[in-house]
Amino acid sequence: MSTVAQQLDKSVRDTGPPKRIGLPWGKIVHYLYCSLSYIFLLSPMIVVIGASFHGGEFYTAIKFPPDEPSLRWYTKIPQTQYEALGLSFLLAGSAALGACIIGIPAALGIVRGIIPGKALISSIFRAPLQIPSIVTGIAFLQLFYIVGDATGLYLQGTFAGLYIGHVFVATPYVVGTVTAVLQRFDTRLEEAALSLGASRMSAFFRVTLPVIMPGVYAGGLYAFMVSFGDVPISIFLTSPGFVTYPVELFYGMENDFDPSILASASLVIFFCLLALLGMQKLVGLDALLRSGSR
Amino acid sequence: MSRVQLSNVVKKFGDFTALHELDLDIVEGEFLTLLGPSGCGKTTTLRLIAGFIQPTRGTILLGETDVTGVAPQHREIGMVFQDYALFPHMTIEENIAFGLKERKYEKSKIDARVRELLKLIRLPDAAERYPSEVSGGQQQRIAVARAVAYPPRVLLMDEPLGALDLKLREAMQFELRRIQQELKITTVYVTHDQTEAMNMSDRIVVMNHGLIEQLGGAEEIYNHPKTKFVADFVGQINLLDAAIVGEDGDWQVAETMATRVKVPRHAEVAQKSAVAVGIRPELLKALPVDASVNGMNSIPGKVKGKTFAGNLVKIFIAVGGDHEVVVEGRPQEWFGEPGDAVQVAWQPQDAIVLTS
Repeated sequence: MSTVAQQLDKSVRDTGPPKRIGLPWGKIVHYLYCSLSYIFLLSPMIVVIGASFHGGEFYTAIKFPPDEPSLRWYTKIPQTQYEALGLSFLLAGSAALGACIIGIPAALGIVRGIIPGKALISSIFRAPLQIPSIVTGIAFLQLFYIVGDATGLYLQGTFAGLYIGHVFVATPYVVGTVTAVLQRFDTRLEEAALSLGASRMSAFFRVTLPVIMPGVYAGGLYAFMVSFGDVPISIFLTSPGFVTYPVELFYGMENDFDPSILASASLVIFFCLLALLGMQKLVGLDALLRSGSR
Repeated sequence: MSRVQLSNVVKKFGDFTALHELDLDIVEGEFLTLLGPSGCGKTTTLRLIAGFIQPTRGTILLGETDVTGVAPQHREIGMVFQDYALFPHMTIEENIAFGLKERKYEKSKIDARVRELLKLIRLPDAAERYPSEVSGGQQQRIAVARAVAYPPRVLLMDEPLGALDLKLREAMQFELRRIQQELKITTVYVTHDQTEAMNMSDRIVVMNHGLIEQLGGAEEIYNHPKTKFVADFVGQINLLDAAIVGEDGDWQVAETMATRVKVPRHAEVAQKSAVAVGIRPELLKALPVDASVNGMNSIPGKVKGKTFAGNLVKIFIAVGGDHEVVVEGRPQEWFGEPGDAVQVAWQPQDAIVLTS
């Protein structure tokens, strides 16, 4: 009669000699999978940047790979695109700031507040993410007409109107990341500050805020990117001669495509890469990305 | 440095009463430890003194000032937390200077004070480093320096050594005691570690279920515990259920495990009372069955097992059937082997009669 232990022992012996290390299949599959993912994610950018160096005949469609590489189209970027780019940077920067000013106190309330209906409040702050942007754009346009009719102050086509729309869609990102860092924040740090004689205000600005700053940077960066890349809302809230960069590109592609659009898009891609590298040097992008899931 | 007085302090969290009518008078310059298992109310008491929570009833005095209802930032306390709670984004120097800066001290004075404190905690060269760059024991000393930089009226410590390993914890006990005595600062220390409490404190408050079980010096609490809980929580003890059945000269006679033994006279205990007789393991002896006991109490038992811990040996002996007692002694003593019948013996004056 064999015991369970003997059976187990036998089953191990039946598998033959111990396995030697062969080809590292796990690693090969891993690298293959990662490479394919990167190619998939980067290919649109590679095509845009590549096609922007096209120096040959002008086609009405993208030419990739480019013939006769040249910088020709980089000299032909129209002034309106530079103006639109300026507006977009200003708008995205200030929308990110506005999102932080609303989002940080909101996150504090959601995490720390002893208030009824916290779940409801937190889902209200998430709502802009769940409404299709195009609906948001139409809603704001309607709202601005109604408010305009009532007060004589029309916000469509103004910076203020655009700004309100962008802060609306950007704020949830700050609320999300700051809520996440606050939930992991050790409140004893604040107690320590208070025990050392700091006022609540001082404890917040000297201890809490600096410690949750990675979350603020991450949320601010998302907010900036959402605002900077937005078309569906901006398209309703801009006006001729007052256009954000993505909307300007959109019109450009729609009406009279020429490769200068690719050139200016490539410039923006380069700029973004530089900005990311700069941020990596300054605050450490690893810390930024970790703050979402740490 | 101040006296701290809690009078009639009650703290309820919803329906749960964390503290029942606590009265505590902490003498100026004293090192007082609140000792008890988790949930006994010791941390609640500390946080009430700090002002992080407010009492449901009762008053708290710091020195002559009634601070009941006063926010922590206006109490002039120093607090040391279990996981240090150092500010991770500030250097060690900035951490220590935090309280002084908040109180708008001149930079030169702050610098001098920080240097002085770094010397006190024996880390004179750590000023520019960040908390994450120093060891746990060093972080703990920095947390103490930060708490005392602006001399607090009372220093509060919440299990400050809990996160350290044993060797370091022992070294830090003496280090903290040294700093406390050098600064002559009134200190309230919270721990669940009785060795720590006995090593460091002037007085110990043993707490259980939101009540003070006993307050006294280490020796008093160890040698004269008032309740079974204190006897059991502070050190190890063998408790034998017994009944007082008579008197024998200066002694009372108790019956336990079907054996009559002499026990010290207990003022409040009349005949037939159900009591517990407590004897510390190091005061018990295991003797061969035929050995003479010379006036000691003895009850028969059987060796169940033994453990060897280098400098001492613990023997587990079943008495009165299956009640297990622990005998502790030096390795060279005779203990018998597992399975042997033995006598468990002790001097009558070494037993403690406990009624509750």
